Order: sequence, then structure tokens, then C-alpha cells
Amino acid sequence: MRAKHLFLVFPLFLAIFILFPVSPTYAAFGISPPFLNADHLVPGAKYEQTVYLVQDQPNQDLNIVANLTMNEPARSWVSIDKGFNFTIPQGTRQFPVTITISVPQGVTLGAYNGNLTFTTQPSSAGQVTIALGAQVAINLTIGTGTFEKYSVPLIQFPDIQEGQSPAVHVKFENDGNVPEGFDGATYELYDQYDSVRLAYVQKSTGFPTTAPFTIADYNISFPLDFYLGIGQYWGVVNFYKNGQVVASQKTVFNVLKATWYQKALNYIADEWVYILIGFILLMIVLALALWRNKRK
Amino acid sequence: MVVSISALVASVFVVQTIFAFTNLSSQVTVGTAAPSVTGVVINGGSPITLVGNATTTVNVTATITDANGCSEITPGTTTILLYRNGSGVSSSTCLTTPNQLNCYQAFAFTASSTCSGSSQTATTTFALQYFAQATDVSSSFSGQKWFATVLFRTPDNTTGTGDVLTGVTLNTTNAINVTTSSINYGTITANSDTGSTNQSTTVANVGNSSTSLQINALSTLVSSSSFAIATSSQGYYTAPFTYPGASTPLTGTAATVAAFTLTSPSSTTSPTGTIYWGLGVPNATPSGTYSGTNVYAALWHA
Repeated sequence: MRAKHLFLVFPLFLAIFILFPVSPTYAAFGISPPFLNADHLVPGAKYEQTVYLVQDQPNQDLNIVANLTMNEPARSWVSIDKGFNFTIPQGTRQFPVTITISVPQGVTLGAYNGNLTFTTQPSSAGQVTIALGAQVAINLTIGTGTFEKYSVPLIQFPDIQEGQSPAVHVKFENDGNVPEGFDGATYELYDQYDSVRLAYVQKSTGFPTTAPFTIADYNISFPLDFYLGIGQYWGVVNFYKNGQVVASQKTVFNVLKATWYQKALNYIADEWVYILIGFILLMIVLALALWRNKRK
Repeated sequence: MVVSISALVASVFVVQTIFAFTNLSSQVTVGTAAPSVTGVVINGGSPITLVGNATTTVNVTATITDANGCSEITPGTTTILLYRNGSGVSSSTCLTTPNQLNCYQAFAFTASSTCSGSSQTATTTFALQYFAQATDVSSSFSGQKWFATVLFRTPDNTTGTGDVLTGVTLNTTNAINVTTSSINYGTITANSDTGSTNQSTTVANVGNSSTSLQINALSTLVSSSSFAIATSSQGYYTAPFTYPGASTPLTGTAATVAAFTLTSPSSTTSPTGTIYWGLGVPNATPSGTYSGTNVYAALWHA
């Protein structure tokens, strides 16, 4: 009896712990950038930053779990556009995740810190699987001061169609905590040899404003008082803020042959006042004719 | 009257004589104009994000103009420099001493438009290594930017140079590569441990910053019959040990591995470190296959 009991119990004490060997390769995983430093937040501010989860061998879909370690009240200010469980599709080497910090009004001024960890969820069984993780350090400082910082990393002259006004494409990066924008600009148009100035345009209104902590892409048009024909031209643009040149660019652009509908659109854009008056007069004449027919 | 007619005849004669005996010709020499390089743009004006343990393609575009026309542009030669601007690195140093940390050179400029009039837009693609130096806040080169300079030379040996407007930021990437995908303890009887037999995992820094390491159990070791071995039964250390010895018991929450920092790589031979593992199987543990998941998380290190 005793021997039989021992026979039953023995396997429990002689537990076998088995794990299987697996292939020795594994993909790299990381994050860029690994920090979110929002030093100049004010109550009511909204701050966004995109971080990229990066991997070198995106051979399959990769499930990710995000975990936020941060004390209240700041914890509730943080949100992620992808949520806390998501999948990086196969073939994606850089996967963007936008972290948004929404600071409510009336919060206590000061520093708030935490971190956001992203962990891969590899599918394996029968072994101690190694999952990889990456972390974003979140450092927030809530204050009251105005902080101005912006840059213009890109100014381009897109090709246009004949009859259109020259345009300038701007990427405006506002890293400050107040809205920013240009307050003036000058545009000079030269012939294709950069020798004869054809036009000079000054502009002091109509500049878009870029919200705090955001990047904006927009086009600014410089209307000419003559028809710009097909050809190649040089453009020189200077953007001003508080009387100082803050960004400038000089390069060539092309004026291309316009399609018939583009010509029609250009005509409508140029002559819309007269077209509108003509349309109203036509409506009046038609209304009078109808009224007279009714009276007969 | 006779005088007037005579004068008229004489004038006509003089004019005819001039035109009959004077061979007027014109000549002009068109000089060689220097080309200009404008509109230099890196990565569309956006910050550069690298991929760990791999190269990342970054485009540089520019417009080349020459008043002598396309015949001077198409056969011209170009040198394109992409470099971190500052702390001893500039276009002139980059021209002479390229390297994969902060200065890349290219000589192929692919036309992205047909040459029309007197200008052409061209693009070159760089393959930036994962250890190219970061310039964002908190990086070693905070406040600096990556610049591009395009040097164009026509067949007539006239040259033009263009620089990017403001440069772009290269972001810090914090990434690791663990060269094994699992830990295999083999067969261990209950009420025993791995002793001096450690399982090792190699961790490589494949980003462009120094990194530390955090470890935790995502799921503890569980058998198919749902019997769990305590998370703390696994222990790790940065050197070989006899279980439990100097090992740190594994926890469910992330813990930073003591004295484990991998410096930023400066070549494709990445700095590595080893984590050694051991396991103790408690008494009365049923036999079976147990599986779990341990997390290795890169922790950015300034």
C-alpha cells in the first residue's frame, strides 16, 4: 500500500520541466524618439508628438500592448491615437503612434513625469519566449509663461499653370505655446535667366496661423496684375515677423500649359464679380419675362 | 532744279556703292554661365527617423539651373553631402572625410524631371545607418541639424553650390536586438534548480543612443494544466552564477538591470551585453511543459 502511494506521488516530486530550443534569430525593436519633453505647457494646452515604433524585420503582423505608468492627475491627460492594444501590420518598419497631452484648465502648475511602454506580443509556445519592449519617458512641465519658438524647415515653389498666381509652399513648425504666423512677405519674380525682375509683390495679410506645438503645411499665393505665361521663372520670397526676415528662399519654378477647365476656373476666379452681376441681371430679366407672361 | 536732281543721283550712287562694296557681318560670343543649385530639401523637410539595426533611406532633392541650357546640366557631375552640421563637422570636412556617423557622400543625382529650359530637378537617396548621430533635444548634439550641400560641375568646369535652407533634425532611436528568441532551460526535476548552468541571452544596442535594459515577466511560467511556477523562480544576472547566487529574481513589473549600459554604436558592430538566466523549480511541481514570456525593454540612456 505504502509502495503504491509512493508510486503515485513520486511524479509530483519528480516534475519534469521541459522547454524546447528554438531558432536563434530575432528582430530588433525600438522607438524613436524615446522621450516626450513638453516643457512649456500651460493650463488648457494641447500637445501632440508622434513617436515611431521601429523594427528591422517586419515579416509578420506584430501585436503591441502599451502601458502607461503615470500618476493622476497627469495620467488622464495622456491619450494614444492607436489605443493601448494595436497591431503593426506586416511590412511596416516605422509605425507612427501619436501621443496627445491635453492639459485641463485649473491644474496645479509643476512638473509631471511618467513613462509609456510598448511591448511586443510574440506568438510562441512551449518555451520562455522573449518579447521586446521600448519606452517613452514623458516629462511635462506646466507653467504660465509665454514661450515662442518656431522654425520654417521647408519653403518650396510649386509649378503652376499659366494664368495662375505664383505660390509658395511652407512647412511651419511651431514649438512654442502660443499661435505663430508670418506678418509680412515679399515676392520677387524674375525671368528664366534671373536677370530681369518682372514683378514685386508685398503682402501683409492672409497668412495662416499655426497652433501651439503643431506643424502646418500651407500654400501662400502672390497675385500678379498680369498674365503669367508658359515658361520658367525665378522666384525670391522673404517672410517677415516683427519686421525681421525669418525665412527666405530663391529658386526656379515652371509655368505649365493650362487645361481648358483650368483656364475657365482662372477666368471665373478673376472675373467673378462681373459674372455674378451678369448672373443677377439675367435672373432679373428672366423674372420680369415670366411676370409679364403671367399677366398676359 | 538741276542741282537737286544731281544731288539725288549722287546720293543714290553713294548708297549703292556702300552696299555694293561693304560686307557687314555680326559676331557674338556667348559666355559660360555658372550653374546655380537651389531648392535643396532633405527628407521633404521632415525630421529623420532611423530604423534599429538597419539602414534608412533619406532623399535629398535640388534644382540645378544653368543659363547655357540643358546641354550644360545633363552631362554635369554632382557631389551631394549629407552631414550633421556642428561640433567639427561641416561641408568642407565632410567633403574630405566621409563616415557613417555624421557625414555621407553621394555622386549619383537622379533626374526627377526632364531638363526643360535651363533647369532640372534631381534626387539622390542616402542609406543612413542606424547609428547616425541624433540631433534632437536630449541628444548629444541637441540644437544641431543635418544639412545637405550639393556641388554641381558642368563639362566646362564651372561650378555651383547649394545648401539646404535650415536643415532637419535626426531623431534619437533607442532600439535593441536580442539574438535569441527564447530561453531554454531544458529538463529540471522538481525541487531542484539550474545550479551553475546558466542560459545566456545576448543583447545588442542597435539604436543611436546609449541604452539600459529593463526586464520583467509578461507571463509567468505556466503548464498546459495551468500550474504556474512563481515568477521569482527565474533569476538573471549580468555574469554567470550558481542559482540563485547573485541573480535578481524576475518580477512582473519592469526592473532596470543593474550595471548594464550599452554605449551608442559607432559602426555596424554593435555593443553587446549578456544576461544570464537560472531557474529553480519548487517542490511538488507537476511534470509537464511550461511556457512563459519575458520582456527585454530598451531604456533610453542620455
